Amino acid sequence: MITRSSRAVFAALAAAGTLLAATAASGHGIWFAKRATQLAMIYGVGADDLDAVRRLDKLTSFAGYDENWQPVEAELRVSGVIPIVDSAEPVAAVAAAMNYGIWSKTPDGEWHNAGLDKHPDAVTSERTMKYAVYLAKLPTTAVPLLPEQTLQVLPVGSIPEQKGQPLTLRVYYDGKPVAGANVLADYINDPDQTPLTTDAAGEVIVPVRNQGQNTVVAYFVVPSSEPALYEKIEHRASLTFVLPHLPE
Amino acid sequence: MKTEPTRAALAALLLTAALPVYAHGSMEPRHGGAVQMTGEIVFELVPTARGLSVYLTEEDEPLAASKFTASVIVTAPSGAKTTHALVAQNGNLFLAPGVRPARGSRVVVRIIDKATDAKSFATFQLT
Repeated sequence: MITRSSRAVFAALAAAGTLLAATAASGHGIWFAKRATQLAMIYGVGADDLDAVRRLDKLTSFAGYDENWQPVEAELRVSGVIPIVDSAEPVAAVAAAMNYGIWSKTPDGEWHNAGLDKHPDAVTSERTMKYAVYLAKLPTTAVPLLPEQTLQVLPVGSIPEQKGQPLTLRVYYDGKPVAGANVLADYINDPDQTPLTTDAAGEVIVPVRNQGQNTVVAYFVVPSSEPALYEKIEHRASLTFVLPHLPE
Repeated sequence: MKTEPTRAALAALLLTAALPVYAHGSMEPRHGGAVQMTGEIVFELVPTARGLSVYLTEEDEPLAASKFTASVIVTAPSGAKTTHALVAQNGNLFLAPGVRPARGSRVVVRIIDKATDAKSFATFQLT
């Protein structure tokens, strides 16, 4: 029997579900990870490794770098169901940027890849921009601000080699440290964690979560540059680095 | 009650645990060269009078050179960079004929698996 109190619980769960769905719809990011010895670009959130190949046309930039942050000839190539990094020489780091376009959510809960001009009744609308930086090795020099990374997460000082150690991160927007950006310390294994917020210096301190791959994500929302089409722009940037494991 | 055989077995187990274990094959050079591992593939680079030789193994087994397209990128101490084809020889041997990098050169071996297009690199610093 459904009672008034159970209806309230159902309503609360439904509302929470709607909220989660809304969060998830705009919560996807891009990052890089090893797949069968190759370096792949991933699109998704948490353990959801979604179809990155069909989204490659949304990439606006991709670059490879050597250990001195000099460019290395590299591109993303489709290999079966994943895009992989194809470089002429070894890369110490790669970076990508993606313009995911304009999205509007209509009152029925559906997301549409269109703006307010097509959906004037939308309850929310946004442009989403996604960025990714991958460090193949722990860097021996400071990670620089990279071209096309409008939002970028930089390690401050050395990245510790042991999990659990504190790591200071600084988030830059448009080349300047930004306060109020949200930071998720482990986007793959704990995507629903409560985000930390950068301080006035644009910094947060996180414990390094994994003795393996760590993908930190920052997101930051700014007002629309085209208010007739969407209300806001969400920038979402990942920084991925790998801590070495013990010798086998 | 602990018996002598039990102690001996325990000692043997501890000894086994302490021994170095190479999960993907030995890192000891077999041809007097320098060894690097990338993924599960072991590269051995051997400068010879004929040129640069490269041997590939995986799990201590030779990988047929004919299954790969390979090249070597040599960056001299001066910074000059040259790329040379590695020609498959018998078994797991490649040769870049006539290539003799100077000391201090950086040598990158690049292989592409013909069946999968998977690309792997190994980087050596010649001393």
